[in-house]
Amino acid sequence: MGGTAILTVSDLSKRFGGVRALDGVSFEIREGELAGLIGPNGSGKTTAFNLITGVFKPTAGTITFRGTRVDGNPPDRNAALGMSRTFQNIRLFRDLPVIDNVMVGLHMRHGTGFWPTVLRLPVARRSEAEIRRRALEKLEMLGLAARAEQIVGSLPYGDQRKVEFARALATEPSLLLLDEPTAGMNPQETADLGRTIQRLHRELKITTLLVEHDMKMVMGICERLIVVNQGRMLASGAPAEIKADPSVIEAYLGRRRKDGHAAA
Amino acid sequence: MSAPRNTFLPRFAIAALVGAALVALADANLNPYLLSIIQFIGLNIILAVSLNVTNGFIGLFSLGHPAFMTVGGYVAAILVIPPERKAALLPDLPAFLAAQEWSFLPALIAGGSVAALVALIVGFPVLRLRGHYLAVATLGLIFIVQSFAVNLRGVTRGALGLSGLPELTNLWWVYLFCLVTIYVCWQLKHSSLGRTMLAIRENELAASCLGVKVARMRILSFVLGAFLAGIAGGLWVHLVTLISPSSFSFILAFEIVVMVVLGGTGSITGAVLVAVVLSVLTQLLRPVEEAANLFGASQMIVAFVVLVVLITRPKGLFGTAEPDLVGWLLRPFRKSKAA
Ligand SMILES: Nc1ncnc2c1ncn2[C@@H]1O[C@H](COP(=O)(O)OP(=O)(O)OP(=O)(O)O)[C@@H](O)[C@H]1O
Ligand SMILES: [Mg+2]
Repeated sequence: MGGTAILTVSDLSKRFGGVRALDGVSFEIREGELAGLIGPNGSGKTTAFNLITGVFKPTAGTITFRGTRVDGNPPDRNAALGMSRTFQNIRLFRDLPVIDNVMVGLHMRHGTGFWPTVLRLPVARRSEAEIRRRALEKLEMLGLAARAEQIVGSLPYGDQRKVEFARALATEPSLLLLDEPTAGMNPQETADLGRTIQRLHRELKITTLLVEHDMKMVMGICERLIVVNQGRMLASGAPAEIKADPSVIEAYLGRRRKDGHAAA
Repeated sequence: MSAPRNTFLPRFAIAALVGAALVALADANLNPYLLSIIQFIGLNIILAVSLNVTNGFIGLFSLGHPAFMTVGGYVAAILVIPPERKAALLPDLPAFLAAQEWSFLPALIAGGSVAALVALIVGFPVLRLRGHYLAVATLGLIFIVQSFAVNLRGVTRGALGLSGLPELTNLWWVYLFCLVTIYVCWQLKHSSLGRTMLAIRENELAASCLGVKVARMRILSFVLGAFLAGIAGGLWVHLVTLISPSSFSFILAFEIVVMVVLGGTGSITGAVLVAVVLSVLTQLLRPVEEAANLFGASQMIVAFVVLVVLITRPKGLFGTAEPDLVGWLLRPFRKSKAA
């Protein structure tokens, strides 16, 4: 794995009124790695994702993605540049079938414009077939092909999270940001999805940043961990180092039951 | 989305041919009064299906259709009126307009295009608004367009309006544009592009994180709806042979919205069905209202039906689905073939 950075976050800060959700956070994600972003509740992980993908604009600091400054870009521009994400609070297109959810993600790279669509030109028909084929491929990767035609809102929670994952893969990203993809899953499902994440990271060679509360899973699959606490960087390094870091232990033990929830 | 895409074209062709036969039959046998009623039904179909693109597919609550009908109606009328009559009717018309004498189809399309242009221009500021704010802003657009129509006397003859327009609209024209509207909206809905519209309606943030250009899609839906409404306006004024600033009011906007809401937000079939049923119902109830001196009774009935539907089925009768009506109608024939 090369050491070049695909994503560089420098001095990133975000305030919501009086709340400093992020306060001068800096880290790098290297090309090809599977990294974890961890921290107690309310420490700013989702906010970091929202800033990186362009959902929010930073109060201060810069974000560089594949050599270009992207802070302040709208989300669709960042998606086109190769970022993709899932949402901690599931954000599916609830009334649409599973496969349509995934196909929306393929439109950006494989869809056609208005005129070919309404005139039903061959190029539009080919693109539609291609989009369907690729969407099915993504569903198969996550073992969801059998559910393709079901309305996504009717799926069990765990499967909905997997659809989010498949949909994020559909944009053919070079950086995948997964925000608690196993939230609400039982230990068995969590371990399964962990293995899936690891496998897809290896097969598709997508740089992945994973936010996850299940320490066993994160420690097991991530090559490197970045720890934030109360909006600040706490540590970064290999899982074994992080596990032994006194400041990390302190942060987790000190704030175990505190809750600060707000997520995109 | 029950009827898969690849069966749409043959079904559409069959339905279009059956429709054409019915139109020919009606055209030959019905009196002008009944024919005009059928044409209004057709216009309501165009209006409901096209409003469904904004209000149903992409989830923007627009009330702007009457504004675009007014624009399309005036543009078509002014282009179609022969120069001699324009000299008498509109002596102050700018020379380049006074000399125009267009035939009906290009004039209709010009009307639709100018309406689309208006939508494009107002769309950028207005479509930033959501929900009630957008509804109010598009309502405001109706009044703005009306006041332009009142005040641009040189072009519109002000509050007097333009009367004695040639009676160019007939059942065939209305039918043609019904087909065009349904075809375009159906293709759009069942395409990758249309899917991004539904995605925006379902979850705007997720859509934009998947690379969907939300603002551009909003504008596209608004402009397409306005184009079709502009054409409907042109057809309408050449059916009633009259256009004035008050021809298309906000009351009409509510009537169209009711059709979309009842039919299902996003369902083309639903919009068509409800447009037909409501138009027929209003026509049937009119003599009853007059006889019983109960004016407004039909509006009250419609309002009641809307309440009941919205309480029991918040997404309208069909939601976003397209029940397979053609297949359902053809079923008896299939059975007899198999027997
Ligand atoms: N849109 C928002 N408006 C106001 N405050 C917000 C918003 N988003 C996040 N915050 C606040 O910012 C802080 C960081 O929240 P964030 O959701 O980023 O934490 P997190 O690390 O993702 O937590 P969790 O593990 O619970 O998901 C919290 O105090 C939160 O309340
Ligand atoms: Mg979070």
